[in-house]
Amino acid sequence: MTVKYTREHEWIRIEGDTATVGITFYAQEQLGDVVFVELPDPDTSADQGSEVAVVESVKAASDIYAPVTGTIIESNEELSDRPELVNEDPENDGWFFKMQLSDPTELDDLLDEADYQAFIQEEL
Amino acid sequence: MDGRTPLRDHTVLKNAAGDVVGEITSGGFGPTHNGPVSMGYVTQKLSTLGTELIAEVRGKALACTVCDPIFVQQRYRRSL
Repeated sequence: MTVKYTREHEWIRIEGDTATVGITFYAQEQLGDVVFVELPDPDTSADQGSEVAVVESVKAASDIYAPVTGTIIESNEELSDRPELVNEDPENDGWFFKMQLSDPTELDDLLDEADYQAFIQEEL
Repeated sequence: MDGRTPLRDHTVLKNAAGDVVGEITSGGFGPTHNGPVSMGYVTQKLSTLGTELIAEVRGKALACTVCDPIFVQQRYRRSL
């Protein structure tokens, strides 16, 4: 199991050819209280970098991008009733959706944890 | 309104027939109401309290209702 990150503050947990995607602790902290999450429908395909979900906080609406190309296989239905899970446990129970990867080589372009931590330090 | 989608500024409002009748000017999540609340303009005859309208957010039609702009009654008392 590997965890990768994007510059859009998403994390991607890879298990075989399945990736679970969510937003990072830093992202939820910046957004403030999450009040609504619009999730993608299962069985839809998504290109790397395309908008697949929307997260609305008390401050603003932000797009969530597909970190890799693939097919959405599952969305976290729990978030419809409890969007606050994104704040409470962003990197576990607050996951957004799962994808089946089309091209695992795309993962090489993503950040590892050390790179991501360095990236957010630059932003601060 | 139904659901939890906040209606943000420039969200288009339509009547039941699908004609554009107005626009949201400001909106967000109301913690006391525990749901989305918004303000906007609609044509005068549709501004009656209780009128049901359709808001279009990212291609989805969401039902919403014209309500009194005092979203939450003031329950505290000002003392001098």
